[in-house]
Parts: sequence; structure tokens; C-alpha cells
Amino acid sequence: MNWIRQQFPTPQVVRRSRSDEMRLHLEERVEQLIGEGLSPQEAQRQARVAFGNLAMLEERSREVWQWPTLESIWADVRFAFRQLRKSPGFAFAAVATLALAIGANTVVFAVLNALVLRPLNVPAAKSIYIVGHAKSIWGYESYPNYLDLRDRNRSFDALAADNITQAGLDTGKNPSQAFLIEASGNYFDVLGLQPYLGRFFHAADEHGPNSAPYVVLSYAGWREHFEGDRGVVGRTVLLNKHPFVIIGVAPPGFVGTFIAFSPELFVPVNSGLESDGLLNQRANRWMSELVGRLKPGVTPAQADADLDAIGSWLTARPIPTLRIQTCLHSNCSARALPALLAGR
Amino acid sequence: MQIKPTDENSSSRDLFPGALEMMILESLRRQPAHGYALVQHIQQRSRNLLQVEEGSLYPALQRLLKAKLVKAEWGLSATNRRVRTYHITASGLRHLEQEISSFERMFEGISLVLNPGNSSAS
Repeated sequence: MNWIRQQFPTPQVVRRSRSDEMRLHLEERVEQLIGEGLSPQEAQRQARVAFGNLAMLEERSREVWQWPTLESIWADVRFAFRQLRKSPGFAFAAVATLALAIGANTVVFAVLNALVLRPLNVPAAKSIYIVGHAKSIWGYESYPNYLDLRDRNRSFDALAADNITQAGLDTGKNPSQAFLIEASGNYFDVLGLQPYLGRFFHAADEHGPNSAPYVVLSYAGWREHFEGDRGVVGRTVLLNKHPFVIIGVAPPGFVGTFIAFSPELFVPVNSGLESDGLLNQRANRWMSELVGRLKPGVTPAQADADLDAIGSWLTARPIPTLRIQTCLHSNCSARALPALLAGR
Repeated sequence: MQIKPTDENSSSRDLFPGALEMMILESLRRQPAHGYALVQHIQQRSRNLLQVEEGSLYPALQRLLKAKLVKAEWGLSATNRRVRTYHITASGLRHLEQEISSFERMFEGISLVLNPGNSSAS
């Protein structure tokens, strides 16, 4: 491990001792030349001429300890590759082990980061809950069921629906696949967020299918696709070749409510991106995640009972019993799986 | 360019790599010394035919230190100055012997080529 220390700037004390040594040499030469009858100035000049470039020589003295060690590292690397080539089985096992371990660590970190290090970044996050099913970690609902739950429940101030999807994004240069969140019109209002630029879409923007061709950029998406151009609001982009108007940019810390997923854009679910047929199928259970803010004073247990009652009412259609499952800001391990599978 | 012939009329010429190190080791074999004394010793022994660009001694000393052919310690000089004195190590002595014998072979080879008369006579 000695070479690691040698790659870094030498501690001042060692550097000074090398310089001291060279300066002493110059002093001795000057004294000798003065002794031979030269003036002090002339002695100084001649001593320096005979010595050479002091700064360059100090640098070369230092390099002695640096570059050959880098060369020897390179030799070690080549040696390691030769050894690995001789035993491909071992090499494969080592690479596979590393790949699996790194992959596993990445997943663990992504979950930890989302759950512990960066909890949902919205005002009063503790009252935000996700609706799940009692016997399954899958919490998704069909859009028609969402509308019934939204309108009939008495536990939530408001209930929003959102969903991860992909679309071809054309901003006028380099068309690419973009990850986005389709959300009900009330999504940002339920979460209590304010836009970084422009405005968000609201429930009032939705007038049935294909009524709201609007885009809100995530902060990262804004930086990535528009280099942080503040004049982006009002511009039109193509999503799956349909024109959408950019109306705003989300605040920096907000990346949606899916764990370990960062969207580039948000669009209203009624923007026309999703086909009406798919949206209106009550049996299409994979459509929406439901996220809501509990009314003050309502406990999760009370909300469970409320939702179960609506679940019973919906049973004719039929639908599994509903209950509140987990919140986003703690104790959410069960939520991590679907988000990860759906995410990048 | 570390060492130059001091004759003003002849064109200056680089010595082969390792020549300065070899002369430093040989000087230290006779007597431990600090940098300035080494320079003076080399100049005197070569009767001023060779003149070390004085500063170039120090990178060479660092190379020898790194290869553990010499070791250094701080002490007081005869003039009561704090100086760094270099000593040759056991591996330095072995290295010096190898270098001298390889240098002598090289020198002999060059002489044989430059003096073909002597070569045919032998």
C-alpha cells in the first residue's frame, strides 16, 4: 500500500528536507566562490548556473518516487490479466460474483436511498398513503375503480392515481425513449407541491379523454432535455408523435411516489397518451397506483374500514377487498417490489 | 544532460545512463558524504574532465535511495551545518561491482572496435 501514499503530494516536511538539501548545496558553493575572491553577487550567479534549474530538479526528485510506481501498477495489471486468461473458469466465477454482488448492492442501495435517505419529498408526507390490497403487495387499480374510490371515500382529502409508462419523446433534437408518470389531474394538488417553473396540471384541466395534452417536466428531465432553459414553458414537444405543451417544471427534490424510479416527465392520464379503451376497462387492474392524503383525525384503520365498504359495494364487478396497506415514508418494504419491477 | 566534459573546445556529450549513479556509489564506497561533497569529489577525481551539473545529483540520489542502494541520515557537517549524509548499502556495493564489471566489458569492447590494430595483435 506504500505506492498509494507515494501518488499523493509529498508531506511538506519531506518536501522541505529535499529543498533544504539543495539550498545548503548552493550556500556551500557560494561560500567557496566568495573564498576564491568573487563578489557575493557574482558568487550567487555562478553557483546557480552550475546548479541548474532548482524548481525543475526538485520536481524530478519528487517524480522519482511517483512514475515508476505507476508503471509497476500497470505491470501488475498486465500480470493479473495473464493469470486470468490462463484460468478462464476462475475468471468467469470472479467476474460473475462481482457482477451479482454489485447488482445486488445497487438494488439494496436504491431501496435504502428511497426509503431511508430520501423519503417522499412533499409537505406533510406522513399523511400520504398508498392504497393496496389486503392479500397482495400489488396495489394497482383500474381507472374506473379509481374514480369510484375517489368519489365515494370519506377518509381522504383527495385521492390521486398515477402510473409509470414509457413514450417516444421528440423535443426537436435527438428523439429518445422517456420514462414518465401518467397521473390524475389532482396529482400535484394531493401531494401539496408547488411548481419550480410555470404551472402544474389540475383536476380542472381534465375534460374527459384526450382533453389535457400537457407535460410537466421533472427537474432532472428539464436539465437533461432542455439544459435548464427557463424559456421552456409554452414550448410544444411530441410524445409518441402527438403534440403536447410544456406547462411547467417540478421542484428539484420531487421524483414521484414510486420507489427507486425517477421520471423525466409527468402527463395527465387524460392526455390521450393512453388509449381510451385501456383506460376504461374496469378489469384492467394494472392501470393505476392510488395515492391519497388522509383527512386530519382519520386513522389508517378507519380509512381501511371506509375503503372496505366501497370494496364490498364494488364486489359486484368484482374486485378484491380493499384496505390501506402501507404508507410511503416508513415501513414500506412491501412497496419496494412493484416499484422496482416497474422502474428502471 | 547530467555530466559534461569541461573542455570548452570539445562538444559537450551526455554520459550513458547510470554513469552518474555509478560514480556516486563509487564515491560513497570510499566515504559517506553529503551532496556538495559528492560533487566536489567527482570533479576532483575526474581532474575536472567531467563536471556534474550539480543539481542533477539530487534526482540521482533519490533514485538510489528508492532502489535502497544508498541510505541517508541527517547529521552535522564539519562546519556545523545540518546536512544529509549518504551511505552505501550492502546491496549498493553488490550493484556497484556488477555495474563496474559490465562497464569494463563495454569499455573494452568499444576500445577493441576503435583500435583494430591492438585487437589483431592480441
